[in-house]
Amino acid sequence: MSVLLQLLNGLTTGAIYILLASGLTIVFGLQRIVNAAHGVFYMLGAYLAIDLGKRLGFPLTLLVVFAACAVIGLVFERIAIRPLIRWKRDPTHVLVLTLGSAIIASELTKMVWGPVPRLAEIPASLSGSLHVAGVTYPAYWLFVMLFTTVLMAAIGVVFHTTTLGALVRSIALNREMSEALGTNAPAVSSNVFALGTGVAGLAGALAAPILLVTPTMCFDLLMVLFVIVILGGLGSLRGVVVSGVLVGVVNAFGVAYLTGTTGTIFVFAVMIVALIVRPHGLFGQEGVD
Amino acid sequence: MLRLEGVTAGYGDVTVLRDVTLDVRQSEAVALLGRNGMGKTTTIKTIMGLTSVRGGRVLFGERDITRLRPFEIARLGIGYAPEGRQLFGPLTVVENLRIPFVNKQPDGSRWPSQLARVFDLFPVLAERRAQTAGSLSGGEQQMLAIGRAMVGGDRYLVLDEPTEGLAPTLVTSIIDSLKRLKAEGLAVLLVEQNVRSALAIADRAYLLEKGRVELTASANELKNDRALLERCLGVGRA
Repeated sequence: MSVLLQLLNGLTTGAIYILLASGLTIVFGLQRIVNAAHGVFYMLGAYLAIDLGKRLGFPLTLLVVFAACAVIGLVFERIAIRPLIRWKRDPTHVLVLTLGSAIIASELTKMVWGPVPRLAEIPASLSGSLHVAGVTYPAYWLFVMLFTTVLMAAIGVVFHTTTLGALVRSIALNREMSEALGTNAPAVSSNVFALGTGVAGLAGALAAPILLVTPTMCFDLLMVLFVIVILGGLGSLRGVVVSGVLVGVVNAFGVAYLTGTTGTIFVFAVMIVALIVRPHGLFGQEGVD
Repeated sequence: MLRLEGVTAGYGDVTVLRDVTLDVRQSEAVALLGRNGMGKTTTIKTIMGLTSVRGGRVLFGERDITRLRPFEIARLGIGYAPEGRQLFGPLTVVENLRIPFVNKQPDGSRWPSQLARVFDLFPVLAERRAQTAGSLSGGEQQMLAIGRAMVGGDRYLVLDEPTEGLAPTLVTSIIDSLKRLKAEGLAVLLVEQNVRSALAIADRAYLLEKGRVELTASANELKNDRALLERCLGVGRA
């Protein structure tokens, strides 16, 4: 197995990680909560993509998955999370609530879609393969990387150049002050939460032809995502991009050359070493960036 | 008119203000005097909806704003510059100013004139417009904090120690700027440790002691009544 192939593998799974971790880290930056149900939207996106893909075609499926996951995320935030924040409950309550919601969602998924793992078909237009420096590589995987790159760049531009971005960053930096300047922080936070769950749905739809779609996939990546978010520096979008790539690549090489089964052991080793050197993560600082 | 009526308020289980009544009329400047820990900042935070009010009410005009969320209070046109400035350090000067603006006016047509108003009062901010707030000097940061309050507060400014930690020449310049704002018709409620600076702007003053209004007097009374001034200076210097 060539080194280049492993690198591309790592970058592809890294892209999925980045899409998922971006929502988690921004929500943490804004609301100081850990949403353990984030993976549910990834799972939902994957199942919806399998069901809708053939009927709607790939682009429209992505759009519908994003919209559906964003709307469900918005409702979930309003009825389940926001009251806990308003009542100033300990963040642990939110963690347990979201974890419990994920367990319920996992069971419901088993009832609706069955326990047998599934895989989506790669869209016909992207089913070919490309030859990169002597390596044959599926075009779809490259598409996933490209999609993630463009989406993250777009979110980064919005964050750093628009007024909406300035509002979001002001809440993350100093919520009380931002509210005292007229920012409706709960509303902005809800919308950002919905954006995050929508993007998690996209990650699921994109991953559906690559990774196995199961009723427990909402938990599969959770630990790795926490590593990426912490390694990147809580609240840092730039951080999850860098640490997502790092973790994806370390994982791929770990699987290929060392353990043959799971590279997660190396992912955690990297995290521990990195946090000893940089306790606040790679890009750890106040607020979101 | 902005008015506190018998307000008892604090944070969590701690009560800081007890039965505080005070008002700030349109186009008037009022100073809150008193030692540290006597409730000056809590009074201001209570107006902005940032404390828990246990008794009494806060009125803005005829409207009871006691239970409004901070963002709703800010959108009524009350501009707030807190103790320690609390700028958004990684955001630029213009972004800091833009936040209260977009929250109040979704249509952007008045933005250039608002920005011009701030830059007219504090020309140095125009030079630094693209710099991050965190990279400004202390004096410039204070100007930005006041400018940010001006953008949101087209009727009332609530300022918590706007000259704190500044060199004397900067204090004079900030005080002059506040006088100009008052002359434009804004009402100003000001917490100030330095009684002389406060009396240079204020029409009236309230002296807070242990969370209660201990004394209220006009600026002229304070300036002419040596004993009264000594009392305020004494607590002001402590």
